[in-house]
Amino acid sequence: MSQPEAGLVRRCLAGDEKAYRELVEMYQPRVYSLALRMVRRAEDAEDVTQETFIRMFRALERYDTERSFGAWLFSIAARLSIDQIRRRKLQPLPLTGRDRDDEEYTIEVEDSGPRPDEVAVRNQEERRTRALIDTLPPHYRVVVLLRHQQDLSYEEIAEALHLPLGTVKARIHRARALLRERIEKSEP
Amino acid sequence: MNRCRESRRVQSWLEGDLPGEQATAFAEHLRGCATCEAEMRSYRALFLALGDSLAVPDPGPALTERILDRVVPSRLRRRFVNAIGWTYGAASAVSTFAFASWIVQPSTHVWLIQCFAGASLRISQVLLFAFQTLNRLLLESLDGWRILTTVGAMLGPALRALARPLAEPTVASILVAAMFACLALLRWMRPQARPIEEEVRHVGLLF
Repeated sequence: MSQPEAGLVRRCLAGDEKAYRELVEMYQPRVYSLALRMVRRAEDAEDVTQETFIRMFRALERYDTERSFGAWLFSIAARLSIDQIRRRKLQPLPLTGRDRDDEEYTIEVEDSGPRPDEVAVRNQEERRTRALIDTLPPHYRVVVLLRHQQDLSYEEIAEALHLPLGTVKARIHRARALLRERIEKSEP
Repeated sequence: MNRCRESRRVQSWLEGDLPGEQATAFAEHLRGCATCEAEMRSYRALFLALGDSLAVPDPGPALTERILDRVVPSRLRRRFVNAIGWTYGAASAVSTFAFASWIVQPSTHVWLIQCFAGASLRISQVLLFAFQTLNRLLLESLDGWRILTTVGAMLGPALRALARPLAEPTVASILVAAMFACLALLRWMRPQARPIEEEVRHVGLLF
């Protein structure tokens, strides 16, 4: 764990309430952005963020300082986001069946709409990529978000999701391949 | 497009995940393989798009405060005390209203009087029983310690000496007669209700 987080965790355990605020302010934007990209609704993302911090502080005494704090926190956020998705039954329309590892994946057809003019190309690209990420099944979406949004290493993602390193790499590669494929298909 | 077998390394190469020798070899391969180069450019564009598209605006301090309200110990205590206070206040208001509504009923009034009367009787009985028990215990204790016998032995001769004149018929007759005379005197002196006299006419002295 990096020094500032270790110090903050110690201060929180000692009852320093300023440390609570610093820790929340440090990680709230990242947890919220992960939650929002996972559950897609701002209200649900706020609930997930709040619940993530509540659970984190409750479990702070049991936190293993040898582990990455970010990975630990994102593991809580990812689990809660997936639970929220399951509760709301946010399942995209299935297009394909099973991959080589017999892992089920689904992807939704996205209508890219009319081609944007040159000025808005970049915004359009971002919106399209976001929409395509939203169509990924939760177990692919979470690894892509942890990798590209939260900049976690493969090892940290594996630790956060309690998955073997190989599975994490395979999922990320497969998710990106699906995204690239969809982007190419949506281009005229 | 025909796929190259080496194209599976593209993502790892872009992320710097290939070991040094493999990375160098793949870079060499890229120079001569149009398929892999196209795939590499495609993935590079995807990586850039992923980085740009995943930015999310900060929800702001409102969410921070909401979270802190649920985790900071002092705020939790305040929240708990507030909840207890509101619950107590609401329960008190409801109880007061219910009690007031109940107490103003006529049947309740009668019932309460009966209850108070019964309770008073019971309390009196209990107090009387306690008093008697205490007296009995005291007397038995005194008797147990031979105190009453000792006091009786000390006062007995004096009382017998005082009572001896009463045994004389003359003295006894005089005392009885004096007693009756006292009773008659007391009866004569008792307060009597006077009959209401007629109203006295006012007499003016000044005119």
